[in-house]
Amino acid sequence: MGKLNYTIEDFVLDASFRKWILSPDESTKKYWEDYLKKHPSKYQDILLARVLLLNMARAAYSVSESRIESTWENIDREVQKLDNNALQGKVLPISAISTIKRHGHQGNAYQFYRIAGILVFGLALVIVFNILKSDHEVKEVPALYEEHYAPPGVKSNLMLQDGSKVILNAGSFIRYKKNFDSDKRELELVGEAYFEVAKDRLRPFIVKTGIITTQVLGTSFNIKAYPEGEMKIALLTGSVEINMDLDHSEKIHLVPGEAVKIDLEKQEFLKTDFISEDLIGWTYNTIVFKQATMYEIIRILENWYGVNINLINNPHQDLFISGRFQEQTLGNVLEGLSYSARFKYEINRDQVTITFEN
Amino acid sequence: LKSHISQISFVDVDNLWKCLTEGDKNGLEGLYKYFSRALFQHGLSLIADQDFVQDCIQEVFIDIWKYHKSLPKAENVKLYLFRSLSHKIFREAKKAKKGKTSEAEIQLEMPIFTESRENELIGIQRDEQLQKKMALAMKKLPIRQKEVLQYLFFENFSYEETSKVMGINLRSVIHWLGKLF
Repeated sequence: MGKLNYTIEDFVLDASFRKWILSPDESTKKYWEDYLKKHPSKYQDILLARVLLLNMARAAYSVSESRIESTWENIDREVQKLDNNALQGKVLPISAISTIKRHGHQGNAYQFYRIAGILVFGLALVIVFNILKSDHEVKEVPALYEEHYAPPGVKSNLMLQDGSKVILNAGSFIRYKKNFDSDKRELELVGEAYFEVAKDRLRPFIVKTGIITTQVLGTSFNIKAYPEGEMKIALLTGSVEINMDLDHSEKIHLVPGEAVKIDLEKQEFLKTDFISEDLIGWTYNTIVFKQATMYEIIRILENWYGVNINLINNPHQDLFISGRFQEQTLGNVLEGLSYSARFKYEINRDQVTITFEN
Repeated sequence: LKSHISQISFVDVDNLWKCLTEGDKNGLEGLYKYFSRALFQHGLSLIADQDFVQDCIQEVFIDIWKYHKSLPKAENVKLYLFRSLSHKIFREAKKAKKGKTSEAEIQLEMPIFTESRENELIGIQRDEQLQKKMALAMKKLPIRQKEVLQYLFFENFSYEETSKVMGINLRSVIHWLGKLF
């Protein structure tokens, strides 16, 4: 192809290359990664072109609001002059704004002073605001986010733009910048999700859950971070690095088969081996309880089936339950649990009542 | 999945333009409100003189009102306005013999704040020193070259849109900027 003899300049000027660096999508990513594979000698040039593009900068100028305003007033004044000259007494349709202005000036003195007052006040505000803001403005930049929410009772399968796969558990939410940044793929997660990350050497995949950051290159792992529960990160393949921004910031690595349990309150974390099914069973519609308390079970079931569970009487203090339910209805799960936990239950649409025997 | 959402989707620029061509002053005001900040930034990138740029912007808007009946159909309103402003600045600067910002002026303006291409890329690790160098170097370019770089790298105009403007060898400009590393 014609891009064989590309130099740094050609890369910088190539629209698809720029897109790949600055806001990559599937096709540019595929194209340029293939290109790199075929022409490894270009690596150095591509790297330089990337730096050049990313650092392309111009001086930022801030223009005060009052200048923007006064510029418009000047334009408006000139434009009105033009119109008046052109009119010379002819009647022409007038725009809404000038009609309103006219009325403001005609006779109604109260209205005039009111508007003048508002304007003076507004101007004062602008001045004060500008002083407070000191000399340079911080520009607000609207970032565009992609957001996904799986409500209770619903799981959601997603394919991200970079080819990564995400299964969002019920009651969970993720959001990420459209097309990701050019040097990293960052997501925020509330709740639980299972990730199969597409490999991308240049852009690490980062999941933020509050003060915990999990960074990977290409791997599959599960993060459980519901606001009210314990946080657990389990690694299936590849490797991840977890950063914890606690009082003293801490970093740990996981190897496949390992999981870490994080207690945010106590600022403790505990590495464990995990039995994959109790953590990722949910991704194939399997609920697994492992020595779980009745309260944990209720929370999981509420979220899984999108119901509200009310308790009558309390379960026994040291009641721990294990069980596995694959693709079962709520009725079947409760039926199964009711024997070992000794309760009666009633399902009424999305309201469930569990009554423990005393 | 979803189509690309641009910031512009909130304001129907083409419709404002249509209003303007039909003689509705709201169209003019809407366009001003929507583009004024970007036009100031663009103008100041070409010549760092606020009063001068303000005058040029005023004239651009007065002109499009004057000639609203004969304006072209909205095709690329943003490019049209940017081009008009550059044109105005180029002509007026020639008259006033303003051109490159002199070395001395640049020194006075330090420290400058830089703005990178695509502010959406927040959090990216950039080299601040390098960006300052880049921004300074950019200032020293002749207006035409600056204009083209603005379009291509900061205003998201395509190469095709930009190339209408140029008879400029962009490769040599890039090559020159690349020397900064």
